Amino acid sequence: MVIKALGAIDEAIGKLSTVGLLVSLILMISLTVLNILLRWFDTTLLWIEPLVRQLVFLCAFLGGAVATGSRNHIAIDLAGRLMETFSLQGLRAWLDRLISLFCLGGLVWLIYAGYLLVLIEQEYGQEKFLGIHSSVLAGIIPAGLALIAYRFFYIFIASFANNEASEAK
Amino acid sequence: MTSLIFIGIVGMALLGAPIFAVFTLLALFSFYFAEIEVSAVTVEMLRLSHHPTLLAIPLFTFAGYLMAESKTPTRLLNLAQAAMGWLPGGVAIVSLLVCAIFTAFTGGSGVTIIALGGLLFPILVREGYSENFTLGLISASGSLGLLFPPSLPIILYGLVAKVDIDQLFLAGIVPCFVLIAVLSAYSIFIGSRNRQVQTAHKSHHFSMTELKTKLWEARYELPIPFFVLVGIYGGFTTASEASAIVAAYVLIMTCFLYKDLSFMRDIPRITKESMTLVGAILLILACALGFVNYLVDEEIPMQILDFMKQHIDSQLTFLLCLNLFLLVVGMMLDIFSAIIVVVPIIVPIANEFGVHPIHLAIIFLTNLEIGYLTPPVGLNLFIASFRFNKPVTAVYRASVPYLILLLIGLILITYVPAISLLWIGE
Repeated sequence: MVIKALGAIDEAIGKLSTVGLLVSLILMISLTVLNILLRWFDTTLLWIEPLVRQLVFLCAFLGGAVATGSRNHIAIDLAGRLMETFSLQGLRAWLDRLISLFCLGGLVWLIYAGYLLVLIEQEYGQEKFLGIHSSVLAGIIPAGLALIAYRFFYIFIASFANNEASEAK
Repeated sequence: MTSLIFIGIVGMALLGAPIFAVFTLLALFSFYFAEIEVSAVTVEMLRLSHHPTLLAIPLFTFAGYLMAESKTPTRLLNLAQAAMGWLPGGVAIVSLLVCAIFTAFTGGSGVTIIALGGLLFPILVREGYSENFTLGLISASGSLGLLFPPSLPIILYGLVAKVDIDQLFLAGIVPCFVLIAVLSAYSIFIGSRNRQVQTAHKSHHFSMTELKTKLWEARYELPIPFFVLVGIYGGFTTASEASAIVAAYVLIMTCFLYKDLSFMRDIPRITKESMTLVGAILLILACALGFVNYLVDEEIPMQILDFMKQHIDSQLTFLLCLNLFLLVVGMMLDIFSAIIVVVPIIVPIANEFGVHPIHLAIIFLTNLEIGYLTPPVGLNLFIASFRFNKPVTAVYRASVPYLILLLIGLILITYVPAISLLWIGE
């Protein structure tokens, strides 16, 4: 029951990230092309460039969340490949759990560091564009990392449930 | 204790932990032990969002994925075959050229082997080339266009090394043609010794009508390189703006002009696939910035330089050591992580030895390009093994001649700087 609920949240994060990526990509393309066209009429919307850069930054985390769900992060997967070659599936499963915990630990610490940055920006930051405060932009870091961290957490928890299910069969 | 933690983190990297997590923990522990507030790591991450060229990474990648999923590879291949298929070794040269152009857009992430491999393999075998030759050729071609604009590693290198991307785009063209020429010469040599290839070659005749037909079929793809080159070097757009124009054009081309892809059905899937790669790269970049800046602040590059100066006294020896080092790096690390971590350390050292920054960039990228093909962990070898359902050891064997030829190309590029600096007026 708990695993199902956690799985539903993980799935929702996956879908949310995919939709976010699609919307961000369409906005990045259309706004940049719009700015080029406006330049022909000696006009520039000054907020487009910083907004587009923030969208790319956001895509790093959304893409990272999708990559976590599909286990597509860039890694030196030599040990994993060797384990698969020699059919050491059990050992591979434990290694995957260790890696999930390793990532989760790093991400939680980084989220805390991101939170500290948001506090600093709230105190000393300023409005950047379209009335958006720099602390909101800094908030992309802990929020985006939280999405990725949750997915690693779910992968870790679900690996035990999957193990139980396969043993029951 | 400190050493144990760092050894443990590196050990986790070797066991397959995502590279971004490895850099995150390296950065956090480095700052923690140096008694610097850990929020400094996120300050470095935030700095990434201010970089104007960053936009080119997702948009060129998206355009590359769109083309890979459409019928563009088939149309380009048909056109190249109509134009050059009649030459001795023509089909093999066509394969090399089409793969190189394609990799320039896809970033050498293995997409080329997946997208074009299935098309090229049966064509080359039908032409009489052995399966071994074909396997090696396609594996080598998978990263051949990394030096052609607007390749993703070039953009990333420019961003990390703070080198003008427009100049890097120009500088990569001649070295890339040098590598293609070396491999083409080998293909012609192999073809000339193979009776089956000779017989198949005699059946190919140049036909102007066929060329016109294939040109017409690929009419919408042909302007794409000009959008990049004319846009940037004509002073009409920046590299980022050119990427937006290319992405918009390719989207319209594939969905509405050719109707190869459905906007509603295919685009969300392709966006997800391409942005997964982009996210993975940018996340590494963001997480590694803190660690790399820590190394620079601690003057690690200068300490390495001092050590090197005791043992190396000439630019030639330095370049030789650099090549050996980068080949090992290319074997172990993927190209994006290698650029992010190694470039900030190498650039000041190379500068001290009088290596031109643009020349260094081309040497660096050529080494990593070869790293894709270097056993035991070159990425192209595994992708080709998966794509053609062959044992990876068979791919190793098939790739050896190409590896040797690419190393010859690397020596030329390293020791003849004019190849890289020809078009930038230096």
